[in-house]
Order: sequence, then C-alpha cells, then structure tokens
Amino acid sequence: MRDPLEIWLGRLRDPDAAVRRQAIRQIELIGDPRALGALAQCFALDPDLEIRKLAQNAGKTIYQAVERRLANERRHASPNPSPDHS
Amino acid sequence: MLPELLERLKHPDQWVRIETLRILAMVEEVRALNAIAQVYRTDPEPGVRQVAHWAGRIIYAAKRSAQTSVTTSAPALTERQEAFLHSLIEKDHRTYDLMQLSLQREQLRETRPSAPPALPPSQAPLDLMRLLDEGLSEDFFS
Repeated sequence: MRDPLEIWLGRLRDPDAAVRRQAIRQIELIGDPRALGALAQCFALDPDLEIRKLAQNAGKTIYQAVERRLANERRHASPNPSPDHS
Repeated sequence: MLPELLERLKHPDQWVRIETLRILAMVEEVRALNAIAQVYRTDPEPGVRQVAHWAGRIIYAAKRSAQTSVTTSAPALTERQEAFLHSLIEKDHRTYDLMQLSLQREQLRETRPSAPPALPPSQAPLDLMRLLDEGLSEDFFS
C-alpha cells in the first residue's frame, strides 16, 4: 500500500489550487518532517499567495512540533541533577 | 532539527542547500541567520547565494516583526507595517521567480560540453552579516 504522505505530496503539484490546499491540510495533519522540503517549495514557488501562506503555516506547525519533541527527549535523556536520597 | 538543517547547508549538492534555505525561510528560523549569511558570502554557486539572500530577507523581516510586537504594547502590527511586510514577501517571491529562471538557465549552460568552470565565491560588496549587525534600513528592501 502506498504511503499516504507520498500521495498528498504528489497532489501538491496538482494544477487545481483546491487540491493543493487540501493536500497541505492533510500533510499538516500527518505531521511528518519529511514533508518540509515539499512544503517549502510550495512556500517559495506556488503562484497562489493563499497557498504559499497555508504551506508556510503547515511547515511551521510541523517544524515546531519536531523541535518540541526533540527538546523533551533531550530533557528526559539528561541525568537528573538532584542528589540521590537513598 | 536545527543542527541537522545547518549541516545540510554545507551539503555538496546545491539543490539540497537550496531546499534547506527554503525550509529555513518558511519556518522563519532566526537562529539560522548567521549560517545563512555565511552561505550568502561564501557559497560557490551564484543561485544558492541568491536564495540565501532571499531567505535572509524573509527571516530578518520576521525577526523585526517579532521584535516590534514584543517591544510595543500594541497586540499586533499596525496596518501600515502589515502592508509593508506583505509587500516585502510578495516582492521577494517575484524576485525568487526571477532567480529560479536564472538558475535554470545556468543549469542548462552547465550541461553543455564546453561549460565554463564554476564561479568563485561572491565578491559582492553587499555584506549581509554587517547589515544584519548594524540593523537593516527599510531602504535595503526597496
């Protein structure tokens, strides 16, 4: 079965702006950082201003979620600085 | 994720560097400004340097916008500032389209058998880092 992300990424190149808009929303919901390059391409090159903004918002949402997750992982991975009371 | 993106700015493939610059511009990653300025100054590909310039301007505009909203008590930008920033972004996209055309022309030239050697790093007088340090004037964007 084809990866849903791949299907939506393919639709980012659809000539119909409504299809591209729907694809961006779905990609944002999936939240996979592998989509950042394609969203950035939309942000830089799409002829429709609204779609560029939509792509930017989706890209920011995904990027910030990844940054938050990585920050949490780092916090949990670092040793506890509090003294051992045992 | 930021360290990974910054590392990709040094990737040997210019298209990877361009994609990374686009991502950094899209997410308005102000922590990448120094690295982007470095790409703008030293990248051997003129097309990559142009995209670095475009990305730097977008991120810098976002940084200024954020500073304005923090330093003033107003909850949002004034209509005039908002219109100004939108015009910048629109202008940047038009500039970007021209840059892409120029880049594609260069790609075509490179595929010819007698393609000239790659250009040396930019000797452009415009030093983005210095301008960032000193604070860009609005004239810079016009």
